[in-house]
Amino acid sequence: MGIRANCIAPGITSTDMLQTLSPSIIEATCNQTDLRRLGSPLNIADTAVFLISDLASHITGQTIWMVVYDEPGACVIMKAFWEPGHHGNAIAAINDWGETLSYRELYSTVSRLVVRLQARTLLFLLCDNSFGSLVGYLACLNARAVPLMLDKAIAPELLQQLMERYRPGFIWHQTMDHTSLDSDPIRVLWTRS
Amino acid sequence: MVQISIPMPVAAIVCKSGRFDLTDGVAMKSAVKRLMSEKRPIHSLVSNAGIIFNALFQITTEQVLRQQFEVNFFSLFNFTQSVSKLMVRQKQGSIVNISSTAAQDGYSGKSAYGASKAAVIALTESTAAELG
Repeated sequence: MGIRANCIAPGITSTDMLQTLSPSIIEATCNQTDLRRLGSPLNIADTAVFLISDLASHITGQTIWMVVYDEPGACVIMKAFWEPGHHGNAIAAINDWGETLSYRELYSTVSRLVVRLQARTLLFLLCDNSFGSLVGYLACLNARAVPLMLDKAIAPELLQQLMERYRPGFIWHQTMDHTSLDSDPIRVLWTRS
Repeated sequence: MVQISIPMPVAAIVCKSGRFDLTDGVAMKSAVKRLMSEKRPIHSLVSNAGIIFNALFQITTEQVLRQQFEVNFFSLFNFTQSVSKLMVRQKQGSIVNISSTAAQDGYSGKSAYGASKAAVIALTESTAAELG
């Protein structure tokens, strides 16, 4: 039928989309490409003009990969709402013991908790000033659950009263042991049936 | 000294712009109708519109996934389908779709975006095979 169809697959390109990213991420991503620089929308337009024109009259069904990264997955443009454009290895939090939590660790722990939560359920957070409270709260926001922050040292009688009154769907309890983040930070102690 | 005179090509290019929401099927159809009523040949179609959502796979909601595909794939599919009918009639045309390296490289946080862009490549290859 005489119609040609081709595809252009650009990599990181200097457009408004990049304004949400920090310059350090953009630079790091550029350095992973063969040409070591940011693509311009004009580069894509030029390629489109070539493919449209008769110069490409015998090219069809092809994809032009405009940027080749040194290693797959090297392009780090991952950005969650709580992450202001940092690299995955950047430090997200430091706890009272001086331990650090990177953004990558934060994503993975939050994600592991999120998959267990249900939307619109109430979650009691029994946490102190630790990574646990951060992870629990972010997981709540992502799962659209309703977080209620409580002091970990809450009196058992008061906790009992609150539980009977509000019937939380989940309880999130970060153990005293601060190293538990390395093993399994997720401890949903009680789930309402 | 030999002077070579090269005749300069003279081209009259008329640029017109139209604007509509790609995810609005009715607006898209009326835009195609306007194109048809112009009775000018359509030489090419470059599909560039796209949106991006970054989220880890486990916290990517279905709503975000559908919105991503609505703009990056479904609207492109529908518009290309409409325009290709005109191209088939004139037995000539060139379609260029803009995908992304994310279609193949498996970046973290790009499960929805990468999948929509990979779909664009698959669509392009099938289109080329059928309309070639």
